[in-house]
Amino acid sequence: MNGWKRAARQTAIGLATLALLAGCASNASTNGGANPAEGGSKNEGAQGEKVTITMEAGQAMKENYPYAFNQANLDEFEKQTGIKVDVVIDPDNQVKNVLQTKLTTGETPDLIVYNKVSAENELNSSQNMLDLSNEPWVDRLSNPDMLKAPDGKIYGFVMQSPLDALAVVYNKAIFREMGLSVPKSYDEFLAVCDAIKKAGITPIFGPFKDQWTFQIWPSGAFGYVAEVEKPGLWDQINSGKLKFADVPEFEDILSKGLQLIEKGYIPKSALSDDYNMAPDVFSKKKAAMMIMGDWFITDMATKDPSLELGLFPIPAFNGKELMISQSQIGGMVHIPKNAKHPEEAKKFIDFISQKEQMDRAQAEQPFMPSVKDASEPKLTPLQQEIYDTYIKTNKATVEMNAFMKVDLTELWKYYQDMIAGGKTPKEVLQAWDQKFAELMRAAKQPGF
Amino acid sequence: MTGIRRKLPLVLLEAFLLLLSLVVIVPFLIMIFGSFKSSLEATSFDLSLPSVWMWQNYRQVMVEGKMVHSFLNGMLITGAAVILNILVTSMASFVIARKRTAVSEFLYYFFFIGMIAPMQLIPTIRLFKELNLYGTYLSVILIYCTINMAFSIFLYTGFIRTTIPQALDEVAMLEGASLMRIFFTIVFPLIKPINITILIIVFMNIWNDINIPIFFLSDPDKWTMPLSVYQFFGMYSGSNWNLVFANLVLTALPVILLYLFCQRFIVSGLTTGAVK
Amino acid sequence: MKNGIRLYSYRLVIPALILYCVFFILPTITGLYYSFTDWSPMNDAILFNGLDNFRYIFQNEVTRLAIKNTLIYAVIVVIFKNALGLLLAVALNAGLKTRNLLRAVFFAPSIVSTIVIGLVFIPILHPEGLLNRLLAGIGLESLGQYWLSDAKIVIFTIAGVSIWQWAGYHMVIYLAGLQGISNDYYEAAKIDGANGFKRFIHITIPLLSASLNINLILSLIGGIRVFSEVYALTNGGPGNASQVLSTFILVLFGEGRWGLGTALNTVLFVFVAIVAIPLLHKMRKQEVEV
Repeated sequence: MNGWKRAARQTAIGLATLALLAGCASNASTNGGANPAEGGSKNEGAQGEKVTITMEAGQAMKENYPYAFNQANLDEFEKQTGIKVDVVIDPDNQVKNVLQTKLTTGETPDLIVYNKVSAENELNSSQNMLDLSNEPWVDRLSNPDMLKAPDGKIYGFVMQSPLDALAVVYNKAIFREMGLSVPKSYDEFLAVCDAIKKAGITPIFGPFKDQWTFQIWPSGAFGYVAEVEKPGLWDQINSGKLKFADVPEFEDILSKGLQLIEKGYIPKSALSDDYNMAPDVFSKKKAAMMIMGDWFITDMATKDPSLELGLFPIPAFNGKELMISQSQIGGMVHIPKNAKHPEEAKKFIDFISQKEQMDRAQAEQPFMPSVKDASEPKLTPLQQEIYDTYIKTNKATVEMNAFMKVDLTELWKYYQDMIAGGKTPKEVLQAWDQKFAELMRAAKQPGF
Repeated sequence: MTGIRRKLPLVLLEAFLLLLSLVVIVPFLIMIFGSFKSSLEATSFDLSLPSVWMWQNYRQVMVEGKMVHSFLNGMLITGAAVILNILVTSMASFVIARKRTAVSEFLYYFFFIGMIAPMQLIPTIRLFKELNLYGTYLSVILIYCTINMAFSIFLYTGFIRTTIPQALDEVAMLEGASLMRIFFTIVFPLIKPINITILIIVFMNIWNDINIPIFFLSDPDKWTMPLSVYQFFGMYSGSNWNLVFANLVLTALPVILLYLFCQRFIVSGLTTGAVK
Repeated sequence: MKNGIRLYSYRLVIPALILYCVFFILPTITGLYYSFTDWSPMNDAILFNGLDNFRYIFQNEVTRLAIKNTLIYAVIVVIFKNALGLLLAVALNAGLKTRNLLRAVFFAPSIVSTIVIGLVFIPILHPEGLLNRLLAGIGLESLGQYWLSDAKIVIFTIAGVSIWQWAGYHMVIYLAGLQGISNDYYEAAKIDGANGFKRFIHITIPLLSASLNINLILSLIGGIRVFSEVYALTNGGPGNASQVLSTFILVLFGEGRWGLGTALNTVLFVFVAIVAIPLLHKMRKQEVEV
């Protein structure tokens, strides 16, 4: 019995040591945050104690929308206010899970950078984020409606107006050498593919092993149908009044996409090809086109500057004016309700909305500013082309994904099934209608 | 004559194994060659040699990935968790392996649950918040130590039961040594091959993990080596596979070195003399 | 030695037991509760919904496919990881010149992260990749496959890659066991005139029972709970063709259905327990003790 007592005592000592260690550890972490290696005199004028706020995002967010992360701006903010911003970047395949978990347990960062619609659907913006509708910068937005959630409130700020393009990326040199011009319809597209195939080049590289790739074709074209041909379509679908399988255009668009594979314009190995292989394929001129987006062109400009790439709208229609497709508003800066320093976080958003910061971020990577009083941007040739040809002339629509309230991965898997020959386009839509209803029910959406 | 006849099978065996090792080595060569290529060249993911050997990839990864810092974090977290793990589980296993009571049977299966039950993330986070430990090095050390406990106890009990004769500790007991002393002076050194095997495997489990730091260390300054790879590739955006490969080589290096260093102890553990 | 047995005091178990109960068992039990709720990051209120989650899981056709894939995968990897691991261990326990190097080489794949597995093996297994080119090169072109995109064989391909990665890991555990076998047994058997194969069956295998059990149980648990290999190579695709239970759990969590995901996690746990615990119990009885 003596042994038990001794054991109990030892355990108690052990736990006490742990607690002590814990104390040290937490002290160390706060101290570490408050003592950056910087000359003290600069900050003495600022509010006595120095605050560190955290800004969290996925890798893709920082890659695609680097504006809010601009290091010069972060440094300037610290210099002016004494508030340091720590940036936390999570792996793309984890970021949703990490942020959902942090919001659920209340251990949130002070700022979250996330795509607007995704945040509404995945992070429950109306529940978890501060309402920023009355912040001073709202009046200076050139298009405040763009930032409004379905409930009419604004839960975040973006520095840029959209300039992205989901489209067909093509090798200009191959088109020039073969005397081809950019197709204006689906039939012209088939003719172009046929000519390229006869020349011994793969017409379209289809990295369909990655689930998110093939969907660009239908998501873009569905968005066109809903915006140009059938206004109100998404509302009907989201309220359970209309089914995907009952929209004949959807089936037609999928069939046209599938036909590209059946005719051999996209190689049979597409389900084995992934996006990682694209730079090699394009640089070696093994393929002429890919259904993708502007980011691939930007990436290749650094990887292989000799390559001349351009883009044109997804040609899923005959006899209609084609438009490029755009995704939801990306890189929106939110403040969680449980943030430890909400006032400092608001100060930061206001800071980056100012002209000086907009200009400073522009200097590093040009974008179209979201506020009225920023300087005229110096866009890259690609951005300028997208802006002049499509945005200014209203030839841009928003892809389907921006209107969905549920996770679409399952639909994308059905697309893979269809490519493998397991489902017809009609069956894909029917299976999705069933899954869609199930997910909408789980998300407690009315009408299902 | 007899010498050759005896040696020939061994030589053939060796030749065969060396050939077989190519199956393992080729994917590694793809990775290593890739780490010296240019960003574009690396996207061919094949067995070609780099046209120019770009050693600067490694320097870039070391600097941008803050590899030295995350290496030290990894050593601190992994080292502390492994030592704590081996210390408490080897003692526990010794008793569980020796006692033949219903309690020790229960304990054996109770710990075994840890190998099959999934870790519950959110309740664990809440627990550490309650303890005021969330976000500290200590919290991850404790988590790693406990989630690998079942594995260590499973291995230790199995090996102690079947390879260390009980007669050995009984003799020492008759001489009046305390149990703790018997364990650490007689049994623990005898199970050196097992200690080292568990050390390597648990070290590797913890070293390579990426999930715990993401969820439990909100300060990226405390993150470990495997997480630094995400600075060089993304799911949708342009990735620099040459840097990714260089990063992966650097991350795997400490474990490989540990294994090379430790493997001689695996061989020279039990001697025939000790068993008699 | 009754007195001696009593001397083995449970005191030595206490530190491990406390750590384990506080930091593992406690949260696990709390988490179990969520299996019976409609828990989701999108709902503020967590409602108890009885057995609804389990009903959904067992009526879902993807679950059935995932169970089938998981079982196929587990059976294959248990057999081949152990057979290869044991053969490698025995071979590398012999007096080869390069044995230390070879041991390290065969162990190396288990060290690398699954990112490598995906990055390197997806191109190797591509229809025009290294493997098919190699097969064509030695005149076996007909054996070439769409390794990762043919729904019929994809799960076998993943099992193959997993064997590649983990055989050396099991080898290390077998090696640790082999060190525990005294040379005296072999010397005695040699004098009795037993040949190498007989010595392997009658001495090595029985005396290796601890490592054998450990490896069988580890590979079985690893096989049923397989996640990273599938995630890195196909993420359950094409479609759901290579979905296994763990990846399907991730899908459910990804859809924001946390209660459902937790419930499937519980099912997986019970499933592994039902297979592994009786097996473990049986094997422990047969262990040779010294």
